[in-house]
Amino acid sequence: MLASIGENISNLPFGEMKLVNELMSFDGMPMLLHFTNERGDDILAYWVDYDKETIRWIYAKVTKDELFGYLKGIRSLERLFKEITSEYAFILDLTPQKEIKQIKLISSSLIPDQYFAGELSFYPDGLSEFYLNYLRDFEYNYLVKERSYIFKAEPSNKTHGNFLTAKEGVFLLNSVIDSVEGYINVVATHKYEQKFTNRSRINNVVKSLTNHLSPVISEAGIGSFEVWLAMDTISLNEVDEIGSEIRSEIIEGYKNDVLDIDFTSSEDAKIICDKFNPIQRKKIYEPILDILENEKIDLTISDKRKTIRQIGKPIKTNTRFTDLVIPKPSADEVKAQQEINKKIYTLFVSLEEGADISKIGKKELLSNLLLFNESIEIPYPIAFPVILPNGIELMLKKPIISNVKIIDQNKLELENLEFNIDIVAKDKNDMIEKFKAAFMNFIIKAIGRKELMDVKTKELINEYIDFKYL
Amino acid sequence: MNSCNEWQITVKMAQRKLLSYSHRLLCFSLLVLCCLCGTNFKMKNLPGLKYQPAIDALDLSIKCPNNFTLLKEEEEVYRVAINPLTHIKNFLPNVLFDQACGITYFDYSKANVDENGKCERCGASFHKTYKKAKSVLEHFSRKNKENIGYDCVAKGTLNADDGLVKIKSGHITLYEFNNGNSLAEKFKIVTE
Repeated sequence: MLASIGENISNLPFGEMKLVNELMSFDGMPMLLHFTNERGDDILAYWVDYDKETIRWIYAKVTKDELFGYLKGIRSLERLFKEITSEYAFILDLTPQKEIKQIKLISSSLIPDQYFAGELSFYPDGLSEFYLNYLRDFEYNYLVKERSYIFKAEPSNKTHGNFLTAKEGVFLLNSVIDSVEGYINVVATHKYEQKFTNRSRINNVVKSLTNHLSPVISEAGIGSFEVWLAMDTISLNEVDEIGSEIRSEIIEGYKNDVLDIDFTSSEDAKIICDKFNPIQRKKIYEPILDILENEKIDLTISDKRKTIRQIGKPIKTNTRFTDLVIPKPSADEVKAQQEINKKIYTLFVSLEEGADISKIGKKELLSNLLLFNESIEIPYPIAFPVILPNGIELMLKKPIISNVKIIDQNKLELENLEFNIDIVAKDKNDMIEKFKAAFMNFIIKAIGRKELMDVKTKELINEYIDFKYL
Repeated sequence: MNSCNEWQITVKMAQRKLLSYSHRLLCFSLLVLCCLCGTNFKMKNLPGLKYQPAIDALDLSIKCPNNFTLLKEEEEVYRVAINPLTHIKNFLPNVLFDQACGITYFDYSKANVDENGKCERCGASFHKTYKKAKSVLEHFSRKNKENIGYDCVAKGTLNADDGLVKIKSGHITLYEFNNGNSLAEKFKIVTE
């Protein structure tokens, strides 16, 4: 029996302990016991030594993480006690009659090597139903962590030691979030386009999915900028079959399509170009390349299961790769991009009746400005003469107001919820023509089932066309 | 008149039914008796237990072993062991193993210790899976492994000729027969 070490204390400091479970026994004799107390602490008692007069146990408080890791078979009993987070452990000596002989307090780091279990001391029985319930909340945390990508950034120069500036940290986080969200958007849009034709519906579903799967921080490192980001697919309620497909594929997909890429390989660049179009590549890869091109940051990426190819090494890129994946735009493309980037503003200006708006100067405009609103979506009124199938021609009672916004490639998207019209047009005239056609289609269909028309539709049409002419 | 006849018929039918039940009861009783005789006869022909003196020394108030059975088929089993398998401490019932290793953990002298527990420790322990046996071996602290001497997992088979068994969720307690067989010869070390 090893000599006794530590400071004598009179009682174990855990209060009244209640046996939860006998985790391991040897020929009917308990070797490892799990207790809890009134504070909800988890305490393990481990039989470590004996002689004819004494039976020795070690008692130590463990975290739910440690307990879960052991019961799940991820962490051995040896590692659990070797790396225990609790600062102190307690050595309890009992007589053969189970009376307490002495209790010693020791620093956990001083637990003798001889008192550790074997290297392969993994719990053999798995999480029982009891422990699944006992550690239910913890399992969610564990599963999210398991799905995390680990981004570790270190400053290239050591002005502030190993610390990254807060600005660089924010930049890193924003870039990764943009890339992950860009990937979800690209993958989900592609999948839903094969199921739905209604652009507005696709946008809504993709937006909701992107919001839910936007990375959460599952852990952050101390001492350097290490952040674990995860897409929470666990709490995602699948809206449909595609949602379920995305849920099961997105984490592995992002790893394969983005994190596992060799950012210096032309071959990998070509694979990316074959798989994604320039707009998609811009959404997914540009934010990551922004980080890699930032000379102030050395970035390494890994995951909990250590499946990412570039483990441990700072990731680099080169101009050949970036030029292939995100080609520099031509002068015309820059101009076209500027057009896309133009914002639409709504101005409410108080002017005298009859004033010629084209002659108003900047100063006068600013001094009379009532309300200013930056928006990517504006209400757009359209008024036009209607020729009904019975030959009657009449003007709409009032313009029909729809929401219009500029979407990718400088196209316009019009959405009218009243008449359930959703169109994409190349310019304003195209938009108006398409809207007219869609509106007339609605009216002709409505006339076709005039007798069966509900009150709501009648009232809606009557707002714009006198119903008696139909 | 009619009702009287009907009553007589009902009584006769009831008598027949009773006779039928009595007959069945008699047959069943004979069958049970035969079985019991058979069992007794069979039990009487079983060899004695190798470690009966260890059981007797505990002076238990209950019959030991109890609730035992005989293995119907050969069973593959594993146990933690000491290399070589011919080591004197291998395959001992727990009570003797405890004595041999100086383990005072289980208090055999205490009157209030469960007598069934004491009886179970008069058998030797085996596991049905390698994983479980290996896990037990690995869960010993290094010091306890040194104290006890266990250093490997042994695999072998048990059958009805080896002894009486009690089987409980993946664990077999064997009360070995005194028939001259050596368990060490039936086992080999399999630790990976």
